[in-house]
Amino acid sequence: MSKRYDIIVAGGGHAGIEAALAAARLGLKTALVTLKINTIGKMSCNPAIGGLAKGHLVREIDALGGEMAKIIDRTGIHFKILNRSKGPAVWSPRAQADRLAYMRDAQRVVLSQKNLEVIEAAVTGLKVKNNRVVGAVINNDQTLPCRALILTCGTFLNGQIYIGLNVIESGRAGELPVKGLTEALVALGFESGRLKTGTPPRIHRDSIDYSKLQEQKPDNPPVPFSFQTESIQRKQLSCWIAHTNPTVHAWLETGLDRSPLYTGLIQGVGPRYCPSIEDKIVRFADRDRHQLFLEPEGFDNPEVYVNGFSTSLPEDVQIQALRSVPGLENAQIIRLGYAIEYDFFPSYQIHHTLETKGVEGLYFAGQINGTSGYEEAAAQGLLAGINAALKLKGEPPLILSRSQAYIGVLIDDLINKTILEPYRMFTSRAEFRLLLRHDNADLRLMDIGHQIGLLPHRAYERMLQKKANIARLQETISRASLEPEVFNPYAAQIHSSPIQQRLPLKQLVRRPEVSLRELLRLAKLPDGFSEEELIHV
Amino acid sequence: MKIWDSEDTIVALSTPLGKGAIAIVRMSGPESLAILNHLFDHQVTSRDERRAITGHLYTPKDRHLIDQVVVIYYRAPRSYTGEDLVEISSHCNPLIIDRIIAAAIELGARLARPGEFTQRAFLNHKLDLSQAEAVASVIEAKTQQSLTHTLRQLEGGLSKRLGEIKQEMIQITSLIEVSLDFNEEEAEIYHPSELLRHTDRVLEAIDSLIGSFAYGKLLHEGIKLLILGKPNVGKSSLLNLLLKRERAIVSEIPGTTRDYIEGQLEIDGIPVQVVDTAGIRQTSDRIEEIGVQRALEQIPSADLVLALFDAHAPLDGDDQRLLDTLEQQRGQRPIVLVLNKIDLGIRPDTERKLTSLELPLVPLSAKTGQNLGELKQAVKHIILSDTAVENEEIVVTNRRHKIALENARRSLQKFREGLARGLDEVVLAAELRSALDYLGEITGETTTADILNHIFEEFCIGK
Repeated sequence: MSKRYDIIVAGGGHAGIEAALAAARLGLKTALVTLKINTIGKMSCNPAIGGLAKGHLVREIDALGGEMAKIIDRTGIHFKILNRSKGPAVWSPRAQADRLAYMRDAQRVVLSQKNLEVIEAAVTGLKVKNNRVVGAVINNDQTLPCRALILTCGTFLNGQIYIGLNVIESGRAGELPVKGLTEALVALGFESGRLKTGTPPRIHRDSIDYSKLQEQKPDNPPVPFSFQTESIQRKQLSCWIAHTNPTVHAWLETGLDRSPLYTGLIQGVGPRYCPSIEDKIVRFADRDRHQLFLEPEGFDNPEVYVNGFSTSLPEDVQIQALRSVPGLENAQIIRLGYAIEYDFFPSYQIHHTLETKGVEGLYFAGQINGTSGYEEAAAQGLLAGINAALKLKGEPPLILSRSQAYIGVLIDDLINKTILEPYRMFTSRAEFRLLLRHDNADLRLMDIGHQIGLLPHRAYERMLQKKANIARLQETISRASLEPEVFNPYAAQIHSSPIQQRLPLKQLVRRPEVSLRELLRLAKLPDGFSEEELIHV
Repeated sequence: MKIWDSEDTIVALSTPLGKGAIAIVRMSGPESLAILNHLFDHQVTSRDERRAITGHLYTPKDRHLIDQVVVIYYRAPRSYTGEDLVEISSHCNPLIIDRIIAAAIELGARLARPGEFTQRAFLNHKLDLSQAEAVASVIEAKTQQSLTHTLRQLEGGLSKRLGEIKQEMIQITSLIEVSLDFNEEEAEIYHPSELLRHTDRVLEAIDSLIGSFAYGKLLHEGIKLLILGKPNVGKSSLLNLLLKRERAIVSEIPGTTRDYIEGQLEIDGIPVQVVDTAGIRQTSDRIEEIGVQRALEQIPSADLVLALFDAHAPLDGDDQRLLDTLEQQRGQRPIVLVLNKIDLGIRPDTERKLTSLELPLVPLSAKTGQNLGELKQAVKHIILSDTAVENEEIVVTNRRHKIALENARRSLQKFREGLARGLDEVVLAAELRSALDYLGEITGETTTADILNHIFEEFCIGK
């Protein structure tokens, strides 16, 4: 252990990983302090990265030079572009991860990073002099001097797990919470609040009757998250869809009198977009079934995540209800669902750089700011790491605008909107949604990633090449045109209206049913453009 | 940026200036109670909230008696402005009022800017924007009908109707947003044909509000009615008849009205500004010529022209000149031909000639008042012809509201067309947002949070 660090990151979750890697890669002497080295990069909730709007965040993290997209590309077992039937602005990549592989990969990257030391300990307090962070207190006694401290504590601050009326002090299933840090921050004048989130039971994959479930196959070929990944190597798995029924609902109802939610035991506010199954049957009592999404957690991990069945009902009710789901009659529960309540710090207390307004050199990222989700956490971690490093190097901060990136929307919302429930990204939060596509994150942000010095040169060169190709393509189609006799047979094929006179490609491609690649072929023009380049036009 | 300073206490006279029985000076802001207590010979406390207290006001330094007054204290937030507010009713003498206001200013209040009490009520969410705007309209309403509609707006009638429309639009937006943001399995969230019908209903509701504006404008702004005719054809008599008083000097001598004369009247609740002009004729009198010129200049700003002709005389050169002028105006503004002096008889050739012009024609005697009812009926019929039903519950009287509604309608219409053509939902959502933004110019902004709230209430989100 060194005597002195530039930047200390407290927490080894998805925010902590990005923060620590960014800081170290920007040349700062960095320490990642985590309770357990072998839980770095753990996916504590569902085993998936991306999803609607979240996939955009991951692509942006990648364009700035973050790590998340690369880890999931190396460890994903089910890739899918969501919303393909809608406009390209809201297409979003999602991938199921092999949970253990993801964690191991993240640890490998972190442990092999130059300038980055990993310390197994709990940050329990901080030392502040003249409103400036000067050190982190670890394990209640030792002080590690530092110039910046990034807190990425997830759900660990005074975490409490609820299963039925049982309350366990815990930061995550089977792990100890962090006590004392909230109190230290409150003593410094910060205001804290309480939030709640939940997770469903995990069941053994061999105890499922797949014949009663509906299969959901991944995209073939899988589309990677990272602009730097050539192709996905890992073997792919299917997900499965199941449904609840009135019997399941009846069982769940028998447990409501022992629900920590409905008995008022839980005070923290939970996310409305991710309600527990008991919440769904109470609030939408007229619905006789709810969809469940069974996500495999990997090859050498038998756990299956029952997405949609998040619950904090007592054990007996969880088992009875789950086993009433067609296909899960013999399900073996490996881990029970639970609700977790934790401290957060309402995020009007931070600047757009994620530095706190109260204490210089102190940064908050992830669930401590009231967000939920790996991607939201990683995006903040990356920006906190970058900004802490830039500040120590005496360089101007990186603040992304709402029109530039979902990350900009995320951080701006955190600061300017009241957070009443765990904050999750939605495409509807972005007023420039039409411009912020996942496939143009490179064009939008790689200049910045390259300028800061996080993005490898090769990735940057590739983006410049893509930009040049797009410009060439745009020029081509504004010059070339098609005669009616060339276009009309194709138009008839795709039920498009015929043309009367020669029209430029540029005009024809505006028709939603027309394929640009086909137009290029008809005009006998050189193709060789990638899908990403075509879609840009 | 701070929009206004809530630290400020403001003071102003709320009743009209001049001599009268009672004047009310209003004071609003955090210091208003303290300032009052400094001047008043009673100690008013929060227990005295909304009670009328009689006492004496004294100047702050030398304790000179200002007046005997009645004071009412409204405690925040239960006041017009939502702040601590004091109303002082004094005798209405400008000297007294000046001293009360000067004393308040001496103790730290400042003179309120015009409309500032209502501005504060708006900023404190006591009134929404359309209600705040209604305050001025209520004060300025010229007729009973106009007052009824602006009072309805003040009560929140328009806000309520707009709120309903906004809610419908949020519902439509939610369906699109759910489909975009919460639909990983890409199920069908709505039936396009149903959504089209829903949109049509909202468009209809907006249309009916926009349609009510013409009537609202009539009630609010009224119309300008111009009386034209050659000298001595009875224009001033008609003006007096309409106004039921001797406003204009009526004489046998042609050209008595040398400039124009205005008067206000009301036809079925619609304020009408009547302008009587100098008679139009060829003249060598320099002053009279200016009058004629002015009369003609009035034409472009008139909403309705009453052209008077002598019923018992043949049409002469001056009449013909007027008819030529009217011919140029045909189609640009409504014209009613008035065949005046029917008490003296009607010449068939005059009547025939005027009838042949195919313009509304009313025989009248401005002297006896015969057929006045018919004339009013004709005027009313013309001015209401292109407005919506007059007993419409909610009427848009404000031009800004009408423009916002038209913009919202345009965006919603684009959404409708896009939906029908199967356009990208992301683009459709953008149109809906802009429709909501336009509506928000009247009702206040619709935020993403409002839409998400609706989604979470209505849809079972989360797998």
